[in-house]
Amino acid sequence: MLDLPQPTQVAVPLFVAFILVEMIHGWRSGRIKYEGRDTLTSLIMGLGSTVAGALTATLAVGFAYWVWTNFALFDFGTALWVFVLAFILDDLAYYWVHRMGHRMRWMWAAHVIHHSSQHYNLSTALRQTWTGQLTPGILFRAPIFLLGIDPAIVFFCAGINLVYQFWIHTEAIDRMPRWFEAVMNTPSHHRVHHANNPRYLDANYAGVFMIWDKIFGTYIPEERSEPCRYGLVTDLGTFNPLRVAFHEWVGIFKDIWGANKWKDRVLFLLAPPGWTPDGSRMTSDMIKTAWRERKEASKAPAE
Amino acid sequence: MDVMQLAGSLIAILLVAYLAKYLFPNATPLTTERAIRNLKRYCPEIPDLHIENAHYFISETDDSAIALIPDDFGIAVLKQMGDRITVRHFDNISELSVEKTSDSVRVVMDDFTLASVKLKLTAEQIASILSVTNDTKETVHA
Repeated sequence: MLDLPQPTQVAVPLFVAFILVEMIHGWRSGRIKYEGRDTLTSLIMGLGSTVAGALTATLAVGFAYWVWTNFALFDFGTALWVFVLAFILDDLAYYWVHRMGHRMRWMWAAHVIHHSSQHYNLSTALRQTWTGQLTPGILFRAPIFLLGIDPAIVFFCAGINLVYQFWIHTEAIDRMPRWFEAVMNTPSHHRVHHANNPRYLDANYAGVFMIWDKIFGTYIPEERSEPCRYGLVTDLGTFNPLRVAFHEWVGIFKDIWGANKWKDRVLFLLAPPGWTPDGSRMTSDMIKTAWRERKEASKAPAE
Repeated sequence: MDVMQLAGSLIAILLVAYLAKYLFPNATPLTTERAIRNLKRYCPEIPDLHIENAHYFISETDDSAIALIPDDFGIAVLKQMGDRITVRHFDNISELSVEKTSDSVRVVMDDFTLASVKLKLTAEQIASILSVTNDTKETVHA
């Protein structure tokens, strides 16, 4: 097994330093907001995610090496170009993991944590899941192992991908140069992803390269006329890290327990968040449709 | 991750969070104006006029509120979370229960992250809320 460093662990001191810089910049300029308990929750979630990741890493690593050892089509070796290829393919896999993380409630149960702050600052980047390994997310990376790239290289690239995503969780940067905005994920693109304005829901899933959203039709630009407002469509009423970590799992369990049909039980796991058999809750698609209808109605001339 | 690393991380987290609290104190109370603004944002299906004409009960602690919305648009519970506001809207008042204590009411909801909200109110306001919620419950059970 290749022995590569874990980029996220190496970067932790830098994360803290940049949070302090952004915080002081926000305090002096008044342009960025932090909140004590929100920051505490985000950082505790980050620490918990590291611990949970260390405890459950064997699952993902074991699966990855099982696929690679037994079914790999080619042996790509460890040349530099393999790292580059792995980074691009892993970013593509990340796009789909992330997209499914918003469109499948099972995966949303893990990912919702990252969106649970009503603030958007560098500490939000560290508000990470504790239960990612309990979802089928690793399956989206299986084709890369099957192709023949050493899982250690893929996990190393995934770490760099996460480190890249740290700096885009800020309101301190308005727009990057146009060429950069066209190709790369940026603070502006990612603000849209974290916004709960109906216009911005379910968009901009990219990790590093924004091109995936443009290719797969999920790109929405940030509009100056509509500032992003952050959080969930139903925001949490707690800062308790345990409740933050497990609230959606509890919700799924209660829904499955109360369901009458097996089809409904399966759909409570696999359908988009907000799905119910009777339509009594709103999915993001329903929210967007209602928003479009309100917009159209407000444009219509009064009789 | 060893114990020392974990302890060091926890201390660093507490220091950073304390700095955030120190630099960004929460100075904005939950007012009727903020309640209206947030209800409009989180409950766009309710006409703006109804939200503006709702009956607001703001806790004396300035961190929670109830809005009784006219014309069968139900009830909204608002809770200040740090400097932001969390909203829960119920079409039917019977979806929550209201318990009275000496100088407050406790609104209990079937919600894992917002199980209850306590509002410190005047005796008159408490009576007013209880009359609405009890009336509804009696109607539902009738």
